[in-house]
Amino acid sequence: MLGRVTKYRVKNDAPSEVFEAASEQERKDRLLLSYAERVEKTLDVKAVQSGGGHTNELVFDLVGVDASIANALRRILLAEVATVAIEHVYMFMNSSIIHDEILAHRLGLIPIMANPRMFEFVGEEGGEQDEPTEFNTCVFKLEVKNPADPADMPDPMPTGTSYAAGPRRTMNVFSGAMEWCPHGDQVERFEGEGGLRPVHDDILIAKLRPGQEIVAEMHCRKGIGKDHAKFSPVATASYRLLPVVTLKEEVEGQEAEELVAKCPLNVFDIEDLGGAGKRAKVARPRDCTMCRECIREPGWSDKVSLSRVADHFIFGIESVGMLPPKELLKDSIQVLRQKCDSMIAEVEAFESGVDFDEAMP
Amino acid sequence: MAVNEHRPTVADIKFQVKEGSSLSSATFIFGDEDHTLGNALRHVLMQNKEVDFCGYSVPHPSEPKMNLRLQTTGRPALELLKEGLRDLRDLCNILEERVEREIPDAEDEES
Amino acid sequence: MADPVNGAAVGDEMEEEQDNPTGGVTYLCGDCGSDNLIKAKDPIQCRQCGYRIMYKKRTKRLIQFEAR
Repeated sequence: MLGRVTKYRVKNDAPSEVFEAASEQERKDRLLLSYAERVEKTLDVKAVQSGGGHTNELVFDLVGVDASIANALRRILLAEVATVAIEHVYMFMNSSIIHDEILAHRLGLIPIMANPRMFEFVGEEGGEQDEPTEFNTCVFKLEVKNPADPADMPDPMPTGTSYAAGPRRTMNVFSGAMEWCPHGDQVERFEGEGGLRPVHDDILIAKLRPGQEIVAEMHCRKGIGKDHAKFSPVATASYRLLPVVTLKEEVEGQEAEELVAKCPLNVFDIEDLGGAGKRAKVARPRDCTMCRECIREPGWSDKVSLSRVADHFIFGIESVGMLPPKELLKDSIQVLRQKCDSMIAEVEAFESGVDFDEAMP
Repeated sequence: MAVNEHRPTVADIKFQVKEGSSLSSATFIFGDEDHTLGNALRHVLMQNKEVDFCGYSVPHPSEPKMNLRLQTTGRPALELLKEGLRDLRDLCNILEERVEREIPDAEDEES
Repeated sequence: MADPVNGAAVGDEMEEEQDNPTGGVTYLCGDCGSDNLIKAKDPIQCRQCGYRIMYKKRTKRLIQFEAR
């Protein structure tokens, strides 16, 4: 039968699906229109919260697509949109209490403010373009020392360092102490972006006791989150379905007060009916988390109904900071299209019986 | 060479038709693909009225492979697969255009 | 790094181990932290404080790591 699930109802015990048969129009569309044309009709994208909050955060509504598409975008954002991160650490000196391996790992996780579009991938080792060049690699230097004699400490202290609280002269080393060493024409290329630097300059890298020092050179390259989480451009990317909270009957007076007090997320409000008392209304259904607290007590599930719209996604992207979330979203769509394009090419190559890899120049 | 070197696993064949497939019902093996493309492509193919059955699986999480089973009402499965990929690409184009239009650009620096 | 099979690599090791021209290696005392030059048949003991746990110094060579 033609139709689709339009809602997920949340009841006391378990969720259930609401299936609706396809309308006359939907039947017609399915016969006459291409998939793209049908998507064009149903698809709706609108920003919910952008700029108003933090610039690294974007919340938008994605309506009229299947969960598999929303999930593909989410997975690509987490694991397949490229960024630049420290990949190799050349340790010249490290007398700090942090071991070399741990220090290298910590350095790798520091987000680097470098536009990944300005970089090329370093080729596979032994293959083409496996050499680091000014187009695929950028270099940072970390050179910090806590002098054994406090008189040797420059005033003010070097950038990105400070003394930890207390009289023991333990030195904090922050990501701000990393210094960019431009190669080739990188100075001119990254002039517009104010040079390369860590996204945050207050990430604690290590602590040094008097006499200890760290001297290291870090090489950054482009990579994807699938390979290592340090390349992931998002703190998180997630979606949830739009909640629908409806009152099946009027909830008034004492009961209205009760309902408002029940909800931990403050979904309901009280409407003042002038002389006729008070009535509950659903004011912020978006805030609902389907906790079921409002229908838990006997009788309440007859008054309140909880459900979610099956094809309305509230999508949230939290960028780490190297690219604004809108750009990340566009990149993720591009990656998905790129997957399709390369797969089409592979299928066509297979059809013509030519080994694609050999056919390439 | 680094003390703790690491190499990712990469599939040697990007696209293959599994043995035992016939013209109208076939299993395709995609190299270096996973649920990201698998589930999306499965959904798009199932919207096609000439598709009888479509399902996908990732046989083992540490193998960079994804299998897609496609049974059609008559036309060659390979042709419908190509159509499905094109449909998914069209969807990307529409989505991109909508995102560009509807979502405002981020302000230059955080306020 | 040089091929460990040819003599050069071994020579490098020697050069690093025997940082003193007269032979012997400098170790760090585990208690007071002072440098101690210890030769082949010397007792393993700090000359300053008599502590018997000695630490080898960090290599002066460059070490490469993958930041993973």
